[in-house]
Amino acid sequence: MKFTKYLIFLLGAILIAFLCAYIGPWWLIVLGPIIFGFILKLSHTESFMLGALSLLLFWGGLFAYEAGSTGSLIFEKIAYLLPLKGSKSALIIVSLAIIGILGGLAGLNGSYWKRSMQLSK
Amino acid sequence: MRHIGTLFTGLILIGFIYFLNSKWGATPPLGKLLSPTHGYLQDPEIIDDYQKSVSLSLPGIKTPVHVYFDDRMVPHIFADNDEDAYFVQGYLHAKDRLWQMEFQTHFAAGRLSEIVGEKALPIDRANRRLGMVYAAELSLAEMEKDTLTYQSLNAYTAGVNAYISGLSEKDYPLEYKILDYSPEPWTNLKSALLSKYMAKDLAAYDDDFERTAVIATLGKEVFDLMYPNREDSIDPIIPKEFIPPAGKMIPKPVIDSNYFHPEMPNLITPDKPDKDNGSNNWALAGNLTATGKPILCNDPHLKLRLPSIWYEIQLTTPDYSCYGVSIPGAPGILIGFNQHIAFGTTNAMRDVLDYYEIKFKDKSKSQYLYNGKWNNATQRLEEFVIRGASSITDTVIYTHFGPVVYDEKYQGLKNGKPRSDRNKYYAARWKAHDASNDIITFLMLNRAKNYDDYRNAIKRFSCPGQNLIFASSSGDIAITQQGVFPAKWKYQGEFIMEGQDSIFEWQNMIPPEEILTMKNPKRGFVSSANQLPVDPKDYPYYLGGDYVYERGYRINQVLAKAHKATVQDMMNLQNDNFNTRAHQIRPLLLKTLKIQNFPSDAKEYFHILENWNLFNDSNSEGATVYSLLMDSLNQSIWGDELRKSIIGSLPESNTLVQNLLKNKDFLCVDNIDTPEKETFEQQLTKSFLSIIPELNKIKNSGKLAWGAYKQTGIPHLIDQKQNMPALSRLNLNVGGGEGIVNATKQSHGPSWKMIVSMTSPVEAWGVYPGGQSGHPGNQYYDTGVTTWASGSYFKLWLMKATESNSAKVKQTIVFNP
Repeated sequence: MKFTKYLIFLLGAILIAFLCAYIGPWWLIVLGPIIFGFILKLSHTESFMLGALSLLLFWGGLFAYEAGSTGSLIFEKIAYLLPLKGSKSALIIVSLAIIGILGGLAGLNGSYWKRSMQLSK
Repeated sequence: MRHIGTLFTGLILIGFIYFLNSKWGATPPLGKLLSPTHGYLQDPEIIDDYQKSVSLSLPGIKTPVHVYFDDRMVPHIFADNDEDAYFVQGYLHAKDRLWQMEFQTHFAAGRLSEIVGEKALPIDRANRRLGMVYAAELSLAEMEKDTLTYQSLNAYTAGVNAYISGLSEKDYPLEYKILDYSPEPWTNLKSALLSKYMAKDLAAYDDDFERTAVIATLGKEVFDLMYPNREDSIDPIIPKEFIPPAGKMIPKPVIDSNYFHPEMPNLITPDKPDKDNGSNNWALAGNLTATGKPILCNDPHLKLRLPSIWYEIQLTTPDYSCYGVSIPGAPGILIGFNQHIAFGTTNAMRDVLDYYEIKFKDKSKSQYLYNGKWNNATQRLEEFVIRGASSITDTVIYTHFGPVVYDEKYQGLKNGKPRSDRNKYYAARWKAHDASNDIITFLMLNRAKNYDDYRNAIKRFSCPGQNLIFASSSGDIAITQQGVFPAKWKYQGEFIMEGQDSIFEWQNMIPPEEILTMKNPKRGFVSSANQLPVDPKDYPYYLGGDYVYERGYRINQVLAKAHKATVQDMMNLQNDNFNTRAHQIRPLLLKTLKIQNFPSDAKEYFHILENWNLFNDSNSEGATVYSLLMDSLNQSIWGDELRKSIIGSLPESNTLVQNLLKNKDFLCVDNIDTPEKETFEQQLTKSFLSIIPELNKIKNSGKLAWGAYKQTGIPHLIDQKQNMPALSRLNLNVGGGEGIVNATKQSHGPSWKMIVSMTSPVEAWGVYPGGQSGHPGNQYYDTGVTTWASGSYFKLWLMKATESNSAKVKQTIVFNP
């Protein structure tokens, strides 16, 4: 049962992220973890972890796809620019860390939101 | 209390999004930049695998236009009419160079503060005070009077905007994402601004204030040594027999004290263009070449940046087919060739920017004194929108001379010292303020078929004055120093002039029939390399300006010996590293230095200098020793005088050599700060020994070879300090240098090298230190840099419509209505 909830959270959040990313600003992808953190009955920790994982998978998948179609030149240049000494791995790790924290915070916020609504009742 | 968790996590979430979506100092908005759906990976121009064939439908196109991209992504445009050709040129410039086009025109318009904030305000103020937008507006009105120019500009602008309108935020080039702003629509005014950007680079070098300070504090004798009147020109562009009969010489006013300013000015013009902005060009007649047909060569020396200032392109319509380099931001080709002619350009270097002191009636500055009457001044309100700060305004007063650049509100200081003459007003008289249509020259040259077409094309070119060179397949070669130049008396404009009396004004322009031109000279070649256009003794008008003679001297020396010259010979000459200045001065240096008592390391460097072959090749250690020694000697000889004049500028680097060759113990050799009288031997020995620790340091770091020491690099346009290696190409091992035919300095030099052999079919070679794409992630971002650095060339392809199936075609785009 829990596994199904996890799956719904992950797939739903990724689907919403996919839709939002192409219609609005980049940060709109936080809607998915907020919504599923809110509607699914999960602990704060679970919501945080699933929120982080969903956006990690979303960005990670896109990185893998774009890396194939654009070549690696741009990764290296951005890695020098930030500056991460030209390390593509460091660039990916930093990117995923950022999106992981963002997704986690979004999931957590959804979860807290649900809790406060329940308490209001 | 029950909402506190929601509130707390919500605030952290919003705060984190805000943090990631904002630019913090130099740090770009990380979330936006790193997002795979909105950031650096979404730039549509970084694709690795170009689709073979693309079809676009764009409103504004009249009939289908075919564009074939070759293996270096040079577009070959085939259109049925001019407007479609320029529309597509605009579209492709934007596709490959949009950010660069907009950044450069923001610079010219004094609007960089809108993008990068307060730190750009000094440069913005300098450009607004100089009246760059005012100049562009006047020239645009003139350009739009001409049908071909007007239609070309409109079509070009429409093409740029067709590309911009198809972009969403995620598609913006990388620099927009790093600097966090959006492109704005292109306008014809931006193309005019670009022409003023070039005018500023090539016709706004000015040291009138510095020269006035030197003559006021050090006297005329020292002034003449520091800024010699250049009457000993050894090889001008136009020999005496080609100088047209001239009108009457302009008499010099006798009231010297008024224009040798009684009160020493104390300001420095900020943001001067590089003194070495110049070029080489030459054309050999068929009787000197192996093919029997003329060869034309050109290499403009400008700041080297990525993206490059140049963009290769071929424009083909039923009327003409022209290949060459264009400037992103303007229609047409500036340096190039078609099947009939080749054309190129170097800078004329004349002084067309002078300053006049203005006397206002009162603090309102609404009227100024001129010929005993009060003339009305006008005002132009300049608003500066500053990113991250409140906007500011600046009211610039305009006189009939031009804008009052310096007043109590704008000092132009760069050394932070207070200005003693802070309540004085200086107005600029700059030729680039006069309305002119300079673009038409290039549009017509692109179509020219013969010498008459060439002369007809260039006659309207006004500013910045250029040495426009020409060669044709029918065998003609020619060069013209084209531009509208003030007819000056001797020394006019060398110093700040009196603005109250019309006698100090530019009286007339040199009439078009007296323009300096030369066709098919007996010697079999024409050339220019920013030297004096003529020997001043043979010319009634004062030439002013800053000229260099060494490159022209060396080029003419080599060309005079040309026999059955090949394209390879021309490549060798463009890459020639012979140091003419060192050739002249080294014997005196070696003879004067007495090394018996020198330490062993100093003796070693002396022998390196002694055994140097006088070529600034990348592996030459002698070139490094010579360069350091001359820099040190220049400071020793002139430093004391400059300290006294406070704002005086270091003379041209060849001035010291010329003075020493005439008299090694000339007046300025003595250090005026000491009671004793120094000799050249003392100064030279001191300079030589002073550079030994530095040379040891360089040697120990393995950088004694000239190329390693000089460290030529091509920085990104926003990377003036060369600290963004990711977007730049640094540490290139290249020879050459200042005063050398291969004029490659640290990040300045041959920005495009072209050689055209006017055979049938015409053959051409070229290279620039950059790539067609301005997108740092694109594989064509720096395609030419390695080839350029090695002194090699690409074969240029003047494609025919029938060659569309060639293996060289990497991609085809069809633009449909």
